[in-house]
Amino acid sequence: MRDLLTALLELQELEIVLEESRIVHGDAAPPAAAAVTARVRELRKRVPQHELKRFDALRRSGPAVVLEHSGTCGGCHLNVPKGDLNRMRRTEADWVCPNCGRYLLLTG
Amino acid sequence: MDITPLLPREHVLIGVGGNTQRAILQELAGPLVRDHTIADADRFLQELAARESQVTTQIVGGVAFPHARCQGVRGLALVVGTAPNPGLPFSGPDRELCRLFFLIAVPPSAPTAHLPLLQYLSLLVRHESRVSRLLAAHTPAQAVRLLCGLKR
Repeated sequence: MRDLLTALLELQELEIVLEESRIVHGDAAPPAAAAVTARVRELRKRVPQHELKRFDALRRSGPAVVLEHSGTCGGCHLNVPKGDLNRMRRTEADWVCPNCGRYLLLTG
Repeated sequence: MDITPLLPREHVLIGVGGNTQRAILQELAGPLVRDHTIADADRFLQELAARESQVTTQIVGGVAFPHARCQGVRGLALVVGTAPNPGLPFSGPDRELCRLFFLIAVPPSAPTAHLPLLQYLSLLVRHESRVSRLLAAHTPAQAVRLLCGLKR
């Protein structure tokens, strides 16, 4: 799960960079944007289709992947119950915030 | 978009200097360090440089929008800086010098919060006359009045 979420986090970061580049440069994207686009394509190929679908749906309303800090979701800032966190750590449950539904990359 | 709340006079720097990208970014980040908007200046500067190395934020015409998401950024913040003629070497295509900077700090909890601001500012600077008027501002108050009074 960690590998998947790390890849999704990188994908999210790079897609935001491309969005910024589109806003700032319009159609005249600098050459470096091509390398970012290539990496985005590569990551999208690597992620399973059903996860990608969920990721894209979440991205429409903000970040899809957020970090967990001290038992708190970095997206909705609500506490994640310890039992849920333990189940996630034991890979008995998906790493998803039970409050906001975003992918939750566990830290520590 | 009303950018007045993001732009106290202290967040406008007239006559930015610096021979390197890091020095320029350091000067631009100064107001955010002073008002404790960012907790870790070094980390913020590293993130700015990393973002700049991915895809430059400098556009043709000598305007740049350096920005970064970073732990320890308390909220969305903006600093505007102008450099004297002929400008400063930043990260532009063909080593074009840069005279107008919009530095944006983005909190990690809201990684896309800056996109509307970026859109607003990038549309503003497409009008050459507006850029010229901004660069001609002699005081932060003048620049704030110009920026906050402009309509897209």
